[in-house]
Amino acid sequence: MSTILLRCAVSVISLCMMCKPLLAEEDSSFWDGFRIGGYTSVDLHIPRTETTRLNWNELAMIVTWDKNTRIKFFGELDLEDVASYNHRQGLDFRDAYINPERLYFDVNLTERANVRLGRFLTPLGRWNQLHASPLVWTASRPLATTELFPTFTSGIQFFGTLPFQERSLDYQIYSATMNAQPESRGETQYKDMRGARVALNNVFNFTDENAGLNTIGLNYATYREEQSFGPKYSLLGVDFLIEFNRWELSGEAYTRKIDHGQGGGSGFYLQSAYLIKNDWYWITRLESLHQPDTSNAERWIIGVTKRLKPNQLLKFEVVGGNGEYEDIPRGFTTSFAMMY
Amino acid sequence: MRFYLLSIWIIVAGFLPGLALADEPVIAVIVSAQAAYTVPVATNDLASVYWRKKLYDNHGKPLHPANLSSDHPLRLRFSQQVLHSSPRSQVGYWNEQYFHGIQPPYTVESQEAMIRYVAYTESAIGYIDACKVDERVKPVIWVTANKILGEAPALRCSTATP
Repeated sequence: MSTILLRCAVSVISLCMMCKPLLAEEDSSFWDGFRIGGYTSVDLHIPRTETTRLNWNELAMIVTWDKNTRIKFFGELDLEDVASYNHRQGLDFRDAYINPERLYFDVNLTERANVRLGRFLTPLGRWNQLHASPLVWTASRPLATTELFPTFTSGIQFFGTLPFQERSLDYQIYSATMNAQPESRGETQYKDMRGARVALNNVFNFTDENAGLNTIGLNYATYREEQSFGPKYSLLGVDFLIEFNRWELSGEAYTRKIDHGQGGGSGFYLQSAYLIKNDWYWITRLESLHQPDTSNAERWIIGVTKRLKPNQLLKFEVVGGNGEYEDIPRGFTTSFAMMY
Repeated sequence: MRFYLLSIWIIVAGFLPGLALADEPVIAVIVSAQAAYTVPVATNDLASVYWRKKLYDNHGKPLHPANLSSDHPLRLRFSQQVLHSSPRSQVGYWNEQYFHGIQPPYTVESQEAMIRYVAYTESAIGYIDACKVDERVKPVIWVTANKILGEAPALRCSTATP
């Protein structure tokens, strides 16, 4: 782990230094291009069958470098599972680990095309690309967005936006070039990831004064399980987001096939967020996950979330249904998340 | 009598709101008038620029869009007509972009501040009341009550926005 981190750090510093000559004519310093931010979240779980516990989930640091050239750098280094507390074991820091979540350079090729090199969030659906606690309405994450595909890819991605009339089409085409992934706990390891996503924005061209974002995305990817002779999967997915008046509706659905057309699992979620009053939102979600080798899960979630400030969310939710997964056990959860 | 009532209803329901819209000031999307700082902007690209999805022009220069403050009447209209959403409903979107290292457009408090920012910033894009355009900036796109135009419409400059 420490070797990986060291390599990442050396790579980033080397590449940033390579950018420096391009800026020789700029008045301001090379270091002025850096920005630092991050996010953090704390959960209190009161499960139906297990002990109540308090988790400090992550302390994330985001570093960007942008000096108004065609090259940009983005890095996110997370301290995951920072600490937990329950009345039996007391305060526990043993599960903490460092995860270089994202490290990449973006290079602008043309006004419609960019290339991303490094480790990035796999562009499958919306949730995976926006999974940070302060950006999502619930403390729990839909199982279909964690169990069916690799959440990170190390390689190359071409992306951009093509406008036409009132609408626009975002595209992302990517391929893994490195299969050695930094450790990410509890996830199936995959390799040879390749895929594409297109998303049509402003689909309905709402003109009402309460209109918001509305987008539909299509996803396709192929990949293998990392173990020897692991199966090759092909995955097809669709996702959407509609905001109108006080409603935000979103969802994703995936179906996966193994080499010779056998079913390799499927899953979906449908979520609604309704603005009640004073930045309090009523949240509901239905989700399902089917995998060949594990038990199926059908979960429901209801809750309320308060946007305390534009960068802070306070969440209360009840998780029910069948299928017990580690991330959020069935029961009550409250969470506070903020960006800084 | 029935025809008379129908006529009144058509006027009240359709024509009067049209008159009200006609009083909305035309918004001019502006770039710097100085050759060194100016930037071409296509009508089709305007929303992508303000969503910060299009970050560079066709020469690879980074674009610098600017917004008026979120409660300014011109900002509300621009947001509604160009971005099809209110500034308030964009909070989540800009948090998401921050997560990907992208900053929202720079914000200025007044139209005069917008003119100064656009006039003296390379590849900057802004918007003001079309009647306030002066020699420091060049209008390139016009946003009327119901259209986004690449050519200047007829302007009535009797009323002015703050």
